[in-house]
Amino acid sequence: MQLHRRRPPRRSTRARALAHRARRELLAPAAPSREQALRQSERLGALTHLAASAEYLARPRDRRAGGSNDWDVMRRVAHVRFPRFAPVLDAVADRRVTSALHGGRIAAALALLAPTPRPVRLAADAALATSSALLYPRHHYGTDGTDQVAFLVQTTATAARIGERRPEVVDAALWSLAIQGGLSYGISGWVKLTGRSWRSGEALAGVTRTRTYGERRAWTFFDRHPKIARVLGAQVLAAECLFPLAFTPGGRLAPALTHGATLFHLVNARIMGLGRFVPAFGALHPPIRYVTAPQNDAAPRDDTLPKVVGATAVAATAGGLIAAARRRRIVNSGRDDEQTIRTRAGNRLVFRRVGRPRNEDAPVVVLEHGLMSCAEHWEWVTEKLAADHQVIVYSRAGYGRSARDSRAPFGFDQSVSDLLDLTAAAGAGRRAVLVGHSLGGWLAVRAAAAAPDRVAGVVLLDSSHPAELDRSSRQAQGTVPLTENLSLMPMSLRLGLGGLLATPDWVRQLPERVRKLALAQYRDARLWTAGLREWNAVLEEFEAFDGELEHIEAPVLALTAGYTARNDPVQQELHAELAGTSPRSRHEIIDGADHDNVLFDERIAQQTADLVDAFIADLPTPTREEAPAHALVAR
Amino acid sequence: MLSSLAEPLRAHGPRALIAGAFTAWIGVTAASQHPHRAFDRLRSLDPLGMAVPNWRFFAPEPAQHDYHVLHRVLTATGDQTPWRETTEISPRRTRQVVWFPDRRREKATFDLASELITLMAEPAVDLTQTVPFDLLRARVEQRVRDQSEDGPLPQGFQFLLARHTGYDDSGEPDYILASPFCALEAA
Repeated sequence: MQLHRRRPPRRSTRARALAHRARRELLAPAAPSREQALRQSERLGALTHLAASAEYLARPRDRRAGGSNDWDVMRRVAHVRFPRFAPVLDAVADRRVTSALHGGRIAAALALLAPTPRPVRLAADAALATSSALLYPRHHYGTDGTDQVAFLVQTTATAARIGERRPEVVDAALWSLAIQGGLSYGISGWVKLTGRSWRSGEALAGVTRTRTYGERRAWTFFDRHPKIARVLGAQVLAAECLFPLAFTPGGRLAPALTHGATLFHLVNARIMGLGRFVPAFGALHPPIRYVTAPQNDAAPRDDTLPKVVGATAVAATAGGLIAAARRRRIVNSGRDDEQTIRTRAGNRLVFRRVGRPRNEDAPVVVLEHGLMSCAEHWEWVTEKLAADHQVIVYSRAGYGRSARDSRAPFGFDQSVSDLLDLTAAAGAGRRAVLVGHSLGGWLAVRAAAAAPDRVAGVVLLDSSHPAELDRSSRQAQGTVPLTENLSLMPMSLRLGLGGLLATPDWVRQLPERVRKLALAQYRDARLWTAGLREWNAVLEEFEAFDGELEHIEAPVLALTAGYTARNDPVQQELHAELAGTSPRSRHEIIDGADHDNVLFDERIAQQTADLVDAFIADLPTPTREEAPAHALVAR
Repeated sequence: MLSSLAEPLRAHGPRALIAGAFTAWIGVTAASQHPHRAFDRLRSLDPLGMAVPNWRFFAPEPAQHDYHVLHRVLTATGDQTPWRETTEISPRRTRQVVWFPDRRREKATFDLASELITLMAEPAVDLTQTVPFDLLRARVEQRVRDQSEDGPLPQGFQFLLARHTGYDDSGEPDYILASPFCALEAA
């Protein structure tokens, strides 16, 4: 690259020359050459490894009994997670081997900092990369982002040194580091935007108030001047979110952005005690400066990698959208034996009618699922109950194939009226036993209160109670994070990210025949759109609850999952209260069950079905009167 | 025909391999940064937890609390000491910019506390059998033994994990977890 040389002023003092150089560096700096960029990056990475290893050697206590890195305790998990590598990890974790490895790493880092020839540099890079990988599990607690960056830098440098004779290989390596660097700032910024504390401007004060990552004087200042804290916080957000502009053609923004980033890291080092971040992220800057410099005909740079990455990104996005469309088709095709009704509210409910009633007086069993679920969650219970009863299982409007076509604003009174309409239409004149799980339990209670002549009994399976957000601190604490997480789901899934959701365990627990459909529903946006709508209604209606539960005439069986009772005793009380709305009620605990596996675990679902079956058998026929007392029984 | 493939393969094969490897690494990284960790499925490709970097620094929500481990001791004579902090968080000093070995231990406290809180949400887990619990218990035990070096060994101790808003004293700490009584045996 040609430098536009300026002649130094005639009477230049050293200070003026220095200021001149500084100005040139900031405004029109020379980008590093290929070898310079690789070397600088390699050295800053090495400095990070050196500091880390020296710090580890200074604290052998952390690896002895009582320390956070005591391998004798940690190995239990490591042996389960990495069974094949267990002998290697055990060998590395031996205290003398660990110390020797850290000593070797310091030597390798010094070799890189010194002017050494290529073979030495290659060996040192490879040694640092491999030792990082080997030592990471044994140092697991206490590791941070700098360990990941330093590994990335040294591994990439190893590849560059191996292929050093081919400039295109080194260029690909430097592009790879530059792109990762751009991602690191950009993602850090854009993900912060989704956080309430960053949007409200509280974040800087919140971080600096901690003793772990903050500083007393900084916090006092931000506490006294919240406006300044908000402005600075916004600047951090802007700088990170806009960092990818360094890659705009011409590369004129790159020097300012990387210098700004270095300043940011230096300030963080002093205020937050994050010293190692300076060399670690500093190592990503020379590659960024190299790749963003304009092309030079004398030493052309191979710019293939960003094009390959860009093409891959486009292909992956297209693939995601295609997969999302395929999932939607699976959800829309549903099951083979579905029927449809349209409710008074205008919604379209799709349901299945399984099994046959015992006799002409037998009630029909209607299953009401919980929040963010669907008919397929009842599959085990349906199968067991259908042996002796006629079971109606459906998805509420918005879930599965059921459509929320109603234009009226949503409230649970709509869900309750839908449930009653379904019961009337599908039950063919029979009375219904409503079985509700979680939120479905609350809807069943309301339906029974609204239409006493049509409901023969209510079974509540770990049901929701409108006072639970108030009276259960465990429930209350889960609320804000749930709202924040939920609000991103529909959009993310519409953008085709469904494939990035791991298959949940409960899908694998369901019968094989419904797994594909259940998984497609879980990864499809509709379930979460409906879930978000219902969750907002939960927040609104539960907050407005005045403490008065309506009286129910039909008998009620309240079931509490064993783990729910143990971990949150308030829930058990709430279930008892719901049962108490009826003059004839029972309350039982299902041992070994938790809120979810009460449906998904085949054996426990069988227990649930047996309890429902027994409850139905005990139901009074309309001509006989019975009054079993309210009882709490552990089964 | 094979020989006519060899030439372009030798010329472009290694390049394609390198470009492919870097592209895959970048792709998996980019796809594992969603604000909601449920979308981190591709991270399972990285068993070490180090190869796919996590660029979500202090994002979506920054750390705004300190975790403190406190303990109290049942002495040999049956007296119960008041709660005291097991280890102090290092005050900020300028030299920490270049040298801060205690940072690892403080970060580890964070990691252990976060893991315990996650485990607490799982219904069927016995916390006292987990690795984070054991590491914290061992840390407290070590401290108790060190502090009672020139005296009789206490009968046992109990520890507490608490969360507090650091320099902001205005609120009460959150008490997250209290351990059962841990008996001490002669070493």
